[in-house]
Amino acid sequence: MRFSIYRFDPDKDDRPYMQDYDIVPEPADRMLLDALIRIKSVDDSLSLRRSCREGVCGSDGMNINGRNGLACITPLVGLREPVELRPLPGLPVIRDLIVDMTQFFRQYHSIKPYLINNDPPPETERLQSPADRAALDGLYECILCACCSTACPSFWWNPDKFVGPAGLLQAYRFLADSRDQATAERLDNLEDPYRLFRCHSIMNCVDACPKGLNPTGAIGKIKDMMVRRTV
Amino acid sequence: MPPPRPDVRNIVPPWITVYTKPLPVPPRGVQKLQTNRPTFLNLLKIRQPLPAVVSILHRISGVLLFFPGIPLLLYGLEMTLRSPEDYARFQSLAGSLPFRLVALLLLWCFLHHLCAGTRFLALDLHLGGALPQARLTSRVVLAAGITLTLLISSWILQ
Amino acid sequence: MKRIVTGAHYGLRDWLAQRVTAVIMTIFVLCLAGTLLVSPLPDYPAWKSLLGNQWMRIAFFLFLIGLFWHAWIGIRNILMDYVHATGIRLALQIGVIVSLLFYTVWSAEILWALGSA
Ligand code: SF4
Ligand code: SF4
Ligand code: FES
Repeated sequence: MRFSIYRFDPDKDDRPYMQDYDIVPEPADRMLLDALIRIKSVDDSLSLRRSCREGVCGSDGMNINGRNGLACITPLVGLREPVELRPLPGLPVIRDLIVDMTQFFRQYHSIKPYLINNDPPPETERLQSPADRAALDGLYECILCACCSTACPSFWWNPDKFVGPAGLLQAYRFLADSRDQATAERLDNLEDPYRLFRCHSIMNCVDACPKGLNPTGAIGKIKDMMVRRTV
Repeated sequence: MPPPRPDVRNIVPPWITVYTKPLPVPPRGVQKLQTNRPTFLNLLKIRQPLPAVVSILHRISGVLLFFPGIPLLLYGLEMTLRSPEDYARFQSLAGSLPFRLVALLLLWCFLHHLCAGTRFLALDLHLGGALPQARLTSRVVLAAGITLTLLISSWILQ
Repeated sequence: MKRIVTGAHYGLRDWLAQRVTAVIMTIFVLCLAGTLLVSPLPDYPAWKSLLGNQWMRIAFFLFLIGLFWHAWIGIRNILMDYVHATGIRLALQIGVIVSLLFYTVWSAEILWALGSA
């Protein structure tokens, strides 16, 4: 199988280039990550992040034949050859397929991704009804792989000002949580022409999300809450 | 006495550096160690899904409607309303090929902007927000813009 | 440190205004298209009397105001997306505002220069 992979070593290269690899996958190699590890056993200078190899850690997001996805849950069969692999778009490349996610996580932290509740903690947990808990489905599953935000044109142009789909999905995850008390502050924090309203419902984020989540829908719900409190 | 806790440095492989203290902060001026970080953002190598194409066309058509769309609209309005002679002049102008091409382009811009905008409004109302529907409606919008342009222009010309 | 300053609280207002003007313009255009479909305007007097009608004139003017407002928000969004130097963005935004104000005056003049029919 032929692969064409984005290579860049800051110590050696002035600019990135594409390198071709031909490997024969073993029968047990079913996912793209298996093939990458096989390539790495031939050329150990190839750098990439990976950990769980089952789509839960979110570390091996990359651009696979033009689309963002996780290598570990992308089946090898069905990939057009040569398989073109590039780092996630729009983020600074540290080396090969490894990008600097600082900007992405800065936006994630900016939405205060934790419960804010000033009531004294109860004896046990803060309880939720099953219905309140169900409101978080489709939100809490995000693994912060950045496939969505780096597929979003608005995030490409304003990564410093626009929170991006991953951060906004998490913002709604806490807005929708019955135990959170900071609804007004959270909405204040987002009601800005840049932070939330750079989203133009392009839906590239939904297209890219390897967990099948819908950031555009969550962003729409945040706008609903804003409309409800303003109008 | 409990056994001493193993030093984490002895259980991880030697090629991984373990920092048990906070990383030393490099002095100012040295902070940017790696300066040459390229960014991959070659738009020709990133596949854009159909909803994204509809969206960027919505934007391009909007710009064309702003300019030259609005000034042409006002100019045409003024000319056709000023006097019967100007009205006749406009009619003869409307027969020329360049006029028709521009008008066709702007008609498509308007119709695509209208259809795509309706789709965005539906999305805001949480209609068709799931990926399969969003893909389908983006196809419909693209086709509707072109079809309506052809229908209306042929109706005007008949 | 380069601090990013955000927090101008007009995101929702403009977003909503863009949608409201869009709906109003759509209704107007559909009504206009409907009238033209039923009774096409063959000549100058018919066309002039259509826009000479006071109500039609007001509706048309409101449509144009909505259009300019809608265009302002849309163009500003585009400038915010692509133009990152604050000075240039401000200059372009001023240019857009001035042209839209000019168009507003121009449309009023076109419509009210008609005289009443
Ligand atoms: S929403 Fe999906 S694509 Fe985005 S970070 Fe979370 S899991 Fe990844
Ligand atoms: S829907 Fe919004 S967040 Fe998602 S890709 Fe589009 S602009 Fe980005
Ligand atoms: S290796 Fe963990 S998500 Fe792919």
